[in-house]
Amino acid sequence: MHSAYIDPGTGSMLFTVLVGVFGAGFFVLRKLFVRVVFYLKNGRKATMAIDECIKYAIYTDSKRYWNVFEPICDEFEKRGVSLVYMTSSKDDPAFLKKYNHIDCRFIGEGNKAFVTLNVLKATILLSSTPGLEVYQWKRSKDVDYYIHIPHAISDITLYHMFGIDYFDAILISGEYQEKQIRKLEKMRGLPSKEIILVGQPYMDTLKQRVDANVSDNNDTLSVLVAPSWGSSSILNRYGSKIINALLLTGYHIIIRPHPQSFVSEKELLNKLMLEFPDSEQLEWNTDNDNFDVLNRSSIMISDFSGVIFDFALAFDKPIIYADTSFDKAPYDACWLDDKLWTFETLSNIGVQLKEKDFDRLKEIIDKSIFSEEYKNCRDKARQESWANIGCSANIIADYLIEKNGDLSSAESKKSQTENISK
Amino acid sequence: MQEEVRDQEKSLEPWVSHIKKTFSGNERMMILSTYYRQRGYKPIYALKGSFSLLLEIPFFIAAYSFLSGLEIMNGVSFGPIANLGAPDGLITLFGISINLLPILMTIINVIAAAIYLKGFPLKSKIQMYGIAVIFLVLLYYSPAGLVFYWTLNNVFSLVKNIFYKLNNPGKVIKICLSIVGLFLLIFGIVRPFNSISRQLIILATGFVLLIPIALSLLKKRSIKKIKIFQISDATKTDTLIFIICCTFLTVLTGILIPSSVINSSTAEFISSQNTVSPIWFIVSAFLYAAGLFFIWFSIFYYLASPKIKKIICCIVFILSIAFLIDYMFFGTNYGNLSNVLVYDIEPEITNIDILFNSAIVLIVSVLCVLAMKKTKIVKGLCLVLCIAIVCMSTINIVGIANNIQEINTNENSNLKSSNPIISLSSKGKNVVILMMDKAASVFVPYLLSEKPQLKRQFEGFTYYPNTLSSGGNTLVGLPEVFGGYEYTPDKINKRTDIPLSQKHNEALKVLPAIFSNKGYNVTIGNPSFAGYTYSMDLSIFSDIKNARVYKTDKKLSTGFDNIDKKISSDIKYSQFRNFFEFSIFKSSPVIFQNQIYSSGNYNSSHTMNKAISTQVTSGLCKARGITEEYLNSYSVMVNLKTITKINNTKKNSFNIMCNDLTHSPLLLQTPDYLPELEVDNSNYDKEPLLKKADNIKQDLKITKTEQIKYYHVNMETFLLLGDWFDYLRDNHIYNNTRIILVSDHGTPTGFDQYKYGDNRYEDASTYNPILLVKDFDSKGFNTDYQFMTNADVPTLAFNNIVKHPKNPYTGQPINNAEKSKMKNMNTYMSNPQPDKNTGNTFEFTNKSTVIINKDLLNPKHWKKISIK
Repeated sequence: MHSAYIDPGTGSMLFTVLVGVFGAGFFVLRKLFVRVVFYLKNGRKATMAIDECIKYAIYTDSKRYWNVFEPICDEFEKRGVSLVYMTSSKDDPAFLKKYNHIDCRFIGEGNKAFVTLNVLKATILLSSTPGLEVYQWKRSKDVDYYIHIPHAISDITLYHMFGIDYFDAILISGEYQEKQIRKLEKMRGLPSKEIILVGQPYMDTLKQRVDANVSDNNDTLSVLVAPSWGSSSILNRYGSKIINALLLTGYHIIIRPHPQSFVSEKELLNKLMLEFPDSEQLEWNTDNDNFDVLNRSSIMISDFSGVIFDFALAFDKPIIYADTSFDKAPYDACWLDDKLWTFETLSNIGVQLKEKDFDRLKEIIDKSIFSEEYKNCRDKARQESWANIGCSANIIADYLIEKNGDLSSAESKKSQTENISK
Repeated sequence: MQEEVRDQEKSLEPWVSHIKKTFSGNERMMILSTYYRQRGYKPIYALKGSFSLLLEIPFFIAAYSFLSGLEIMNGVSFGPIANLGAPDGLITLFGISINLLPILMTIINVIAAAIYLKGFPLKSKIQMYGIAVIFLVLLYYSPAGLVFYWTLNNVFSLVKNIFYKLNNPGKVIKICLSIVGLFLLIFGIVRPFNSISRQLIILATGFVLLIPIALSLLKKRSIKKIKIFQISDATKTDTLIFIICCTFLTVLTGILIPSSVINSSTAEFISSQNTVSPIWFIVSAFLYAAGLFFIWFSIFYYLASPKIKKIICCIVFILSIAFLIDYMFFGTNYGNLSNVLVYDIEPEITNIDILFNSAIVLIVSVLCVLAMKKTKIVKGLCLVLCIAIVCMSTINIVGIANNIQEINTNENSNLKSSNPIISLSSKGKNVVILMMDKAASVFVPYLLSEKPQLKRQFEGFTYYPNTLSSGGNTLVGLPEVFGGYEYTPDKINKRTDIPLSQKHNEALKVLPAIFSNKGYNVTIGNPSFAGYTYSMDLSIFSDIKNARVYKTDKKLSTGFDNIDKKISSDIKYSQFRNFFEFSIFKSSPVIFQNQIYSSGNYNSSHTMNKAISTQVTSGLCKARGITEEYLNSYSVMVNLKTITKINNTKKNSFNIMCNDLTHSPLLLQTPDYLPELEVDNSNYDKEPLLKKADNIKQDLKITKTEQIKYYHVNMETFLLLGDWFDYLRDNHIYNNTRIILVSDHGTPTGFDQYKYGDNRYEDASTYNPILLVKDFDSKGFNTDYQFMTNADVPTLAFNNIVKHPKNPYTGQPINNAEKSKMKNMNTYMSNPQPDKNTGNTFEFTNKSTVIINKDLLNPKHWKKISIK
């Protein structure tokens, strides 16, 4: 009786029935599935639309760049177009302005801000922060277009590697920057980005202020020393030597240490300030806004490229630049063999400060101030790096609004064809 | 693959090191991963480089565990190596024996590495040489066979590395392959083969090997014009199809097939010895299947290029459909399985089967390839198939769970089972009915001729060769043995208002109830299907006075106790291992099935050496192993004397005992027909095996393993019974004991002289049970050719001691008057299991009719009757 009675059927009948049932059911179910998914997707989108419908968003990681964005915000306010300005600085000057159409929001610092940005829903996001898709800041699925605006007119390659690779568009201030971007794109096999020559809003504003405040103090020459900080900065390297040399020129000397020096190099500053206290000839300047001091200075000695270009191009004044030894390693610039525009231009628009020349500093200053050649070079540099002087904010606003129109119509077309196909 | 990755890494290296130098901390990680992303390099590719090494590890472990424990290597010499099963020790220096092979292996390994590593950084070199040293240490004391294998492996990689340094390795490979292919083709055509499948495989392999060179000989362009060679890259849908098909294969082979086997007779996978729930066998099979189809397939898919992915996807799709068709529609008539997944008769696969199946598989494959053009439809189809088999698997598993619960309930109600006993009175009268399941009457004359002492031991018996059972299996054949003519299959089906289970239980109880009423001590052992279940529900006898009921489920010692333990562990091993193998066997194309089944061994290295739960035979004379079911039945028969309890009162006794020894075919050691782990009868039985009988012209020409195995267990049964009869004689209780030796049905022995149809059961010996009766004080050994049926048993049992017996359940008189009224009798087969025969009537699968009062064994007297 036992054993060897295991005679399993294969159940082919049942199988056939099941296949028939599921086969028929499959297409019904799939249709249902598609419908449910469609409903969920579009239904959610609809509620989202009521919830939040940002067309234009700006993000800045620091209040420092308010000077870049203020003109743009002002332009939107003027046109009555709503814009959301998101900042990682709690005390961003934006909050002090009374806008009707600009919605200023503090979204936290660092990763906290990225959490918000990574799930942001907006048509366009404009930012001067690099590192999208490189650091913790990822592209949000619900942002259609990422636009980068640099906060300087210098080389666009002076970002840490890959910093602007994942933006859809870059707003440049000079045509030479486009070449740099295209070269990098080619090298890295990236799709080509949209590049729009707009200019630089903060330079425009600066220029406006300069034009409105024509300095009348032309009797005595003022020499501004505006160093950066760190071991290779002017004050660290030359310290009292250069101050002594400058005092010997007889000109009015203004020293404006980098704000960071008061934090990290307090000892050095204290020593120098004790040795060279404020006097009629020497002034230690710590103004919050550097406009006034720049405005009343005749020449600048600096190792800090940003402020050099502000001074040279917006104020159209001569400069003496310290040895700005520069390590390209971390930057996109490292990928390109060409000499950086910044350094090439520096050597054209000013003299390099060298210790052996301290004896004839007065001679160098005088020559720089009255040199026609330097003036011409400054004009050339301005031409190369600063397009659309005075109207960049306007152009940016035009571009953003037009872009939004394009994106919206493309979106609606897409959903229309989807509807038809379904 | 490794090289590809290395090249890529090489090209990335300058910027990677620049980034590593320039940045630190998190920024370094993020910049680096951006760089990798831009260059389309995934850091996991670094793993890809070591992947080929990782891939080797499981194979190495498998080879290691296979070869290091392989007993057949023990003591086997190969060339200068004296023993493949031990370290070679080829060189002896200053009395220290040094193993040469591992050293040789390492040298080859180092050369291979040196060739391969030309121009690679030092780091990789150290890695490779390090691995060579590790292998030297690992394998130094390993068996020479294993080291030899690994050495050859290294030689292969050496050759491979040299290959890659050639200018045109592809061409060389193609030429080499074509030479081998050509050789195989010639070999396949010229050499005579006894198996067509082997020949086909060799020819097909040869043909396939010739394809690459044929393709390159045709101009590449013209090939590209042929649509089928335009392989597109795998899309997301393809990957989805791949995943669905892998799931399908996993569920089919890992769950569906094992669960339908277990569900078809859960009880057989639960024994008192085996505490493991059969669900675990499914889990085990599932893990095997998932390991193969999910993990391994996925690894290769993941590593493949998009075009190869497309091909893999197509192959997996073909596999799924082919497996399904093979499983559903082929090999469905292989017969019954044992609980270690061995067929009771080796499946006969004919060349026609192979050719037909191969053609179908080929057609299906072509259709599948064409279907892959419409991947969306394929995806849908695969999904539907997948869901269907998941549903079926669920149904099976729920069924199994229910069965287990039912069996447990029965087990609990059965705890009262007494110890096995045959109770005999020395002063009163004893009636003993021994029901030897499946005992074949056709063997009896030959048994008696081969062992003449049997006639002396069976003194007093009358042998009825012309006995018919109306059922071809226990379920339909047994009731009439104990219930008489009211319980023939025809009669059972006529009482349509009563459930089969009730009629079966009634039949079992008729004799005990009547004898008990007459004041007999009643003992019932192993009443088949009591309670209409496998596990025997003894409680059905609770209303019979003075009845002792028992089951002998391995309660007795066989003298093979250590084997018993080994067997149950071995069964467990087989069940855990072989379910997956069985699935593969069932779902593979017929051409491969014999190879996979390998006589129930499923290509296990284990079974050959250790496993004894199945008997693996080679030819008709040699075998290895003992089955558990045999031991269970044998334990009772070999202990007949021990369990015989003689009481000196005058109280009469009635005994029923059922036993399966004759149902447990096994090759025994001749001439004494004793069970042995290792049987070799080549000195005693010369092939061709002919068994002769006095008075019968026709010899039994034994050609099949099953025939000799059944002959042996029948012989053993008679020998053991003969011993027991001697014991009864010695104790003076032989003459006062009526012994009825009967079986519920015969055996489909497969001898040509008894066959009246093509079906295996259309064989007169199937319906020819043994019937030998010894009455009180009878003398001599007689053969009576009168027509008998096993429904005569109650009449024979009551003869002269119970007057006018009446069936207590139907009120009908019990006699054999019916027999004289009939000219023909019908015989039936049904599904053999109670749980497949629920309801009030049997559904028969075979029906025949035989003219009674004539020689039953003559096929001319038989007629098949088709079933409506």
